[in-house]
Amino acid sequence: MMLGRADELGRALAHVVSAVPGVRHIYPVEGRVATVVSTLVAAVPGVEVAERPPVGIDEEAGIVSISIGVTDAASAAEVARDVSRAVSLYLVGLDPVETPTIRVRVASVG
Amino acid sequence: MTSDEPIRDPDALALEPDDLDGHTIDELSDYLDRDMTPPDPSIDGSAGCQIALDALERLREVSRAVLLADQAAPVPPDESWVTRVLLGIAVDARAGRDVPLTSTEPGAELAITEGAIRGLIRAAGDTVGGLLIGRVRLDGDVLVPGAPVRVTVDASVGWGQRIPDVVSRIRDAIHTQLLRHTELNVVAIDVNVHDIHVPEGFVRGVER
Amino acid sequence: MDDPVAPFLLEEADERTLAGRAADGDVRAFEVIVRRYGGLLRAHARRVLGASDQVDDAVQDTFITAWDQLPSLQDPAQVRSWLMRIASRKCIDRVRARREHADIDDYEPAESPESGPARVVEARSRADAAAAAISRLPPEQRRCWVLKELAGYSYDEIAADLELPVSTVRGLLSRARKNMIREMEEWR
Repeated sequence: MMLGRADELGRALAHVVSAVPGVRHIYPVEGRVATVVSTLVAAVPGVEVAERPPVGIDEEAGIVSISIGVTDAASAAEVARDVSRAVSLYLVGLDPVETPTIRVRVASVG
Repeated sequence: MTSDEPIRDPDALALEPDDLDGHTIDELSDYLDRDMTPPDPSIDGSAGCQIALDALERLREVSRAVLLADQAAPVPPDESWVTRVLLGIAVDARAGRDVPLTSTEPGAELAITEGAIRGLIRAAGDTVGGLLIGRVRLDGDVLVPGAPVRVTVDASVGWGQRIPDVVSRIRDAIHTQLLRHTELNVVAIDVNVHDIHVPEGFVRGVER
Repeated sequence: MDDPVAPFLLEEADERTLAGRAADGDVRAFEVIVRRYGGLLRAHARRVLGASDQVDDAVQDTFITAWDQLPSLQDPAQVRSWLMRIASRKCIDRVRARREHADIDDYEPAESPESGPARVVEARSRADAAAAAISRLPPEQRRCWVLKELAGYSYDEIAADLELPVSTVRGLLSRARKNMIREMEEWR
């Protein structure tokens, strides 16, 4: 997708995701993503960021993965859709060569 | 190996085969283990065995008392002990399958984990009040959108409530939460009440 | 309904509820389990291991294994005995490792003061007296007695885990029982 440095992008996306109403946590990505942002993403205001990077970016496969916890106030399905839309909008703004797949996984509610 | 039997008054308690009409303390202990069935007349009719059996039975009662006392003992001296245990467990391992959510966005793959669904079912129970949900099971092909899914929960209900009322409230609460957060096609919610919880000190003589 | 529903806290929940929730990933429920049985498992570990700095380690290890195995626990109402079995295994592993490293067959440091009154007759309660009597048993006897009478092991299971012939286990238990009976009758 060629969007520049993965760690910078990861950090930026963590900010984007944390701004979506209903998002309570961003969980660290798991080993399933081939390459992840290499450095620890700075604490995102209002969002608990764990030691592992919260946004997985697989440049080669063109996949962006995010695991979130949502508040009970919103619908988990709706928040997941809002998050994928927000990420998609952000990425389109970067004018990528090809549109990446955006994986959003709700890992907790409430 | 040690064989240092404490030296005691030889009349204190007779526990050798000579005192037990040929039986050993082991045999008597095994006899007690199988609730003295089938009855053994040579034990039941021996005064020596009966004395030893009584002592063994008291010992067994005291074992239960030891376990209860251990359980009542203050857990760890410091809080960090509990924290260390909790930090050592792998929470991710319980996420389960990724249950798909539909998306209008091309190229977006959305899902909610089974673990999150179980969590919101538990939370639904907690909001009803007066009961606690235990294990939660999702039966059905949750990976196929629209496939029928049956929810089964274990529950413990607090004392003094009408179970049918509680069950009906909890099913409503679970259904509402699942409709709100997921896209599961829930065809049934079964609630198994496995325990009536009696608050401590509420009824005299009732022990869990 | 006008009557407020009595609060029903997780801390008061029965074993099956707690084990079920923890199996499903509820860390809060697992924490209640850790607090409820931590003291019991520490006492148990101390009896199997003897006074040892490995007690905490063995108990923490027990809980971590328990968390991993909770989803496959057949009868969630039996959490206590199940935890005691896991703890027994963890302790026995350590006893065996100690045996391999030590020249003495059953090296064991002196009893720590927290294991109760030194003399059984001074104990205030029956449970205290029994705890003191247990701590006074020779290590191998104590281990066998604790596994049989407190953790619910069979003779065969004790023999297999401690790597001793069943006849030896029976002999040790026989002596342990006599010692325990004598100590406890004296307390009475």
